Amino acid sequence: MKRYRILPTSALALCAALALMGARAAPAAAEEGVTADTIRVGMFGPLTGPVSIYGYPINDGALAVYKATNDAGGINGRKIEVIQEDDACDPAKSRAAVKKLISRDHVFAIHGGSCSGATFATRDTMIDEEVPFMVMAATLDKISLPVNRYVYTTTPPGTSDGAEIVRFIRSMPNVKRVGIVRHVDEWANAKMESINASLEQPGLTVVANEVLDRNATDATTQVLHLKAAKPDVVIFVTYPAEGAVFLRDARKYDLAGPFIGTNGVTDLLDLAQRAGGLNAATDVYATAFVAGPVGSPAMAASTALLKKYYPDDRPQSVSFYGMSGAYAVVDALRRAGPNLTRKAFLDALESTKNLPAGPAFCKINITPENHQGCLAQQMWTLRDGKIVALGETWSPTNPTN
Amino acid sequence: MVNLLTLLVAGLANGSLYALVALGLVLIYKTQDVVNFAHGEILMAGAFIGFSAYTFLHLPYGWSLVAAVLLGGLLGAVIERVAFRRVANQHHITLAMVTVGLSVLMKGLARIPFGRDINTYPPAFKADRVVLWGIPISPQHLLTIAMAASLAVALYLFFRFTALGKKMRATQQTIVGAQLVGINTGNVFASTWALAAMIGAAAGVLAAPLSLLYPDMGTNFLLKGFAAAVLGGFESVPGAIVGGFIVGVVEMLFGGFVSTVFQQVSAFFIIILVLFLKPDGLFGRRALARV
Repeated sequence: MKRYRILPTSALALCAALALMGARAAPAAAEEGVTADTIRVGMFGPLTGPVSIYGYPINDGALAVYKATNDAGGINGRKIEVIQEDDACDPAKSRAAVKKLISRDHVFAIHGGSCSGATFATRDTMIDEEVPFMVMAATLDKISLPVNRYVYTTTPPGTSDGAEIVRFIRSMPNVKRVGIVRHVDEWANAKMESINASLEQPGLTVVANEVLDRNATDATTQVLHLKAAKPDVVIFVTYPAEGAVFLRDARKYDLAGPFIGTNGVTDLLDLAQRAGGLNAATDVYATAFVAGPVGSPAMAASTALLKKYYPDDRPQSVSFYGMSGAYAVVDALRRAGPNLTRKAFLDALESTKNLPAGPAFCKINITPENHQGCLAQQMWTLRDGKIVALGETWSPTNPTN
Repeated sequence: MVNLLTLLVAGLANGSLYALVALGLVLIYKTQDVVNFAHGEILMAGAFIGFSAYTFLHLPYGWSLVAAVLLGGLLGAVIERVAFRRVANQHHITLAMVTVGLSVLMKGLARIPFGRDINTYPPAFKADRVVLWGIPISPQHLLTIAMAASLAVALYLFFRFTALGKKMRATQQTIVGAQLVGINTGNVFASTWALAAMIGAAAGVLAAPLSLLYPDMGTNFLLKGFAAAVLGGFESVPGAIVGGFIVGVVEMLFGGFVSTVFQQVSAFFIIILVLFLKPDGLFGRRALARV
């Protein structure tokens, strides 16, 4: 009998002890992914598959920012612990990666997504699970629109890029006839949406609209069609490899520019080299949301940071696409204070004002009504074998024009 | 008129690459009755071998092509010996799955050293283009057409007049019969894989200056080469060549005169049409069984 009396007493004591332990542990484990000395951040992107060519450089840029933050003492006594998952640019895999990061790794927030379709596929999961999400480099507008409390980006969205291109074309003298060569995918369609809308305004006419498939190795038909249409300017909404193929064949069949590309072909020197030399990239322009060409003084600090943590990475524009988001995350974590919660972090993100975006051209501004933190871009071109920035519009007074 | 000729020449140039890929597929299929889904990756491996010889060993284009062909041949023989010899008698679906696995493996391995950038392989000639009868054409395309035509003739002579070629033909007709007359079919299989891989590697070096180099560069060529082989009859060497040229020309003419929207898939529409009318392909022969 005595044995039975001990049992409830022991159980009560055990419960009390557990409650005390729980109460003591509560501050450190108050929020998913946060411990006394770490903040766990999930990251995903294309680390395998054809797009891994861009996946590693983009993720490495963001990782360099987090590593530098840790080396500088961390944030309010905590180090950022990044868990990386591969989405292979595949929507099914990106959803699986995000679910794994949330339910098994218990991350505090997620910073990832470089492919538009694959990243958009994760949006609902982030919202349903109430996990703060900073988009890495994907540009599809509907990832960050309509505004949702949990989803943010510091990469200019596709429509912003398309509008910038048409604004630049409208500032060029004697341009009335526009030719277009484009991919057909989520990334290109987002840009084309605003390009088409902007071109509907009076003054410009689309005289040719050609499709160039992904992985195309020949653009003969597209070039011949454009040449026959006699455009004053050609917009090419393509990835770098296909852009090089197009410019190579344009030169081969004497199709003259100007050629205006998106921020997907910002690395104009690489584009020229792949197209067969500087002559193939004569009169080529591209939008850019990084502050300067790789190797320029504006990029020196960011390049040094990247080389410090990833000495084997060749610095290219995409290497810096993930950095601005990482700076926004770090800044918001810092301002959220030592009692880190997702609510405090989201409040901090939504009050980001004029934050220097590292290598990006813009300053980051986020409000509860606007979660697209960077919209400003500039136009680049090649002059005497070097990339030069032209600003946002063509101007005859600009010495580089 | 110039546009039509320009499109035809560009189609022949692209088609010659598809023909080379189709040749490699046909050789393996004739011998082992399996579609080699890793052939695009053999092309990619050949391109990267040539690129490495050109970039790191500073060999001229011609020697880097030779290096790619020789090492590509070695790669083909090793693949046959390591991955296929033990499962050669399995069902052809099993063999096909082995080639799919090889494809994934080879791409994954290539990404380790080459996966973070798009590489550039300069063409064989410095001139951007030559103009023949008013039609601009790149010397690289001329070289590709010449190589495809030369290889087709060389393969014809090889199968017709050499002892190894005759052994390969015998093995293709009946493996058991070939073994009964003393042919070492293992060596024949290895030789066939080596030969197919040599052709694939040569195609890779020829294609790389046109397509740029990255680990997934072979996928598109495999699809087009597969289409060419199907069109030609899949067991016919001349069929592979003709099929390649037809695929190249059809997609150019379709893009040029119909629409660029469906240019990449236009060749497949034609194939469906041809196979509907002639199920064994243009050069294929219906298999007859005596009962």
